[in-house]
Amino acid sequence: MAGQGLIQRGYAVTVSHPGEGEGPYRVSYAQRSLQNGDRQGGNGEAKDFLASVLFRDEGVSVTWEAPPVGPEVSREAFEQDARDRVSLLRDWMTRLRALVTTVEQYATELGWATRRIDKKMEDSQIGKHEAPALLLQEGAHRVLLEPVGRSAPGVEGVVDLYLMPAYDDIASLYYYDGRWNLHYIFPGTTGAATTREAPAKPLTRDTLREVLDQMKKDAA
Amino acid sequence: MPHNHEWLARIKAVEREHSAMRLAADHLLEAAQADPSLIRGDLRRRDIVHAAAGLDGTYVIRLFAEFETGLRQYCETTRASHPPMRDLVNGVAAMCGVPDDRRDNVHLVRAYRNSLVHEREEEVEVVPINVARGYLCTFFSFLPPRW
Repeated sequence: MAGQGLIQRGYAVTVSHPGEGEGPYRVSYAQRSLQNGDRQGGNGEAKDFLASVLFRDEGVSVTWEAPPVGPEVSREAFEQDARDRVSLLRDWMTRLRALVTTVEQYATELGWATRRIDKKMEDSQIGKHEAPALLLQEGAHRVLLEPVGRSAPGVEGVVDLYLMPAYDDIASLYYYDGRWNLHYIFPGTTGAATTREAPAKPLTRDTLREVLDQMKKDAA
Repeated sequence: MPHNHEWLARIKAVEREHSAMRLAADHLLEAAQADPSLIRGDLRRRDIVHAAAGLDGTYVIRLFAEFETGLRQYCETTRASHPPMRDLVNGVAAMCGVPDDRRDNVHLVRAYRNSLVHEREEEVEVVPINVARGYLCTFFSFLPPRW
């Protein structure tokens, strides 16, 4: 535990994932004090440590492409830290990719063109990473489905829907009760000042259509 | 290579920070009203009132700073000069085909930012932060996807 606290304070951590594939995740640890300065130690070795984390049926394996050196934190603590980060990222990516795929499918069926992009994110428990976002376009209307965070009180994922390019808030999606829920101030909704306070509807092709149609009306 | 969308996201992130601070400031004001002993040290209630009242303006300044940094980064790839902001906005608008009304919206935000920073006497239009974010992001979207 103490080792992981030292890692949290002393290192900037970046996790890169293998995309849709099953390859290894890479977890890099860069010492914070060296981030903007000399990255070479006295013996000429780089100070960044790089772990490769692979999920297999029999468990999670960690191998080092650039192993940690120095007495402050044990290699075991780094390995546990890498496992924990990758495990959180894996769960988050699973939920998020499923959402992006679903919205992509609904949007296509509704006649919108779609394009996936990557968004750089930072999470206190994972570190820096990239997450998928989705651009939707129909005529002059452009909408962005963008991940906001892996967790918030009571929810396991927050994703926003924005009208682009002004980045106006349209709706929010929250993951709870084992599914993505669409929060949007539908016409006739009373007592909700923000999309979060608005009553939720399950994300379906029809609720997405309702949101997109209303957004087009408002933008006209 | 810088990506246009990254800058839009950075501008939006400032607005989200503002929302968090607005919530915190409003809660603090409410709590301090109910229990003045919450305020400690040299802090006075009026300091919190002033901070809360100035929060929107403070974040419009930050919003514009983010926009200006992105615009200057783009310009440095095409020219080495460091023009004043008005010229920079006009130059980029001409270069990237930004419609006049979208360019003028940015000047509205710039004028409001200037009035906050330089405490000018002349009356300028107050631009709410969500409107400022929309104006700046819309302008920025005319820049190339990557540069």
